[in-house]
Amino acid sequence: MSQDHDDHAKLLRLAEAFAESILTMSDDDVLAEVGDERIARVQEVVTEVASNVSKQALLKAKADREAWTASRPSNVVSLLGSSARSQFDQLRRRDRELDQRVTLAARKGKAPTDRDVEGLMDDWEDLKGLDGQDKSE
Amino acid sequence: MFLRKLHKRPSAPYVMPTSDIAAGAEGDEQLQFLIEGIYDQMRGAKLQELLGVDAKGLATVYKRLSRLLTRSKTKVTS
Repeated sequence: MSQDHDDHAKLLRLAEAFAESILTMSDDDVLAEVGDERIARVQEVVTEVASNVSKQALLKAKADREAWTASRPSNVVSLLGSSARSQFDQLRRRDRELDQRVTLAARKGKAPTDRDVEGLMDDWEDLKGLDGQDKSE
Repeated sequence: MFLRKLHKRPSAPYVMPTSDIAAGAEGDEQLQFLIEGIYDQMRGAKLQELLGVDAKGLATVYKRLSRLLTRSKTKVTS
């Protein structure tokens, strides 16, 4: 083993032991050994890092949200709504009694929303299913 | 980015020769024992036994080693 290699190994051992000794020191001992200036510098760096990490997380969240908004099929709800609305209008035209019940007056002046219409269509599909069962029995 | 800031050092890091460390520890028998013990990969209880001190005493000698290394580096690099 060359002298340089030997010295390197010794210094490495010294560095490891020194690092271990620092890790086992109490906070008070560490503070006593380190100057205020260095402590302030480390606090500054840690604060800056924490701030940068938060900013990065916020930017990522914003980018993810924008990507999600851009990829979302925004017309799905309206298409379903318009389909249900069209079926609903056909039903109303065929069934006068239903038409009376869903008039503006019957609904206290409120026109049925797309959600209401979809709900009614679901109920209608259920009723058709029950009707089919009755006939088959 | 922050790692670069933490490691703001000269391009060629200073490495203290072991001869400088030995010279710095001259006259302090406990410190010499500590250094030799560490070179022989001793730790904790074994070092305490070698130096004839308890845990607190060992911590005190470690502090002297810390000051020696800091002092030596300042002297050589200035």
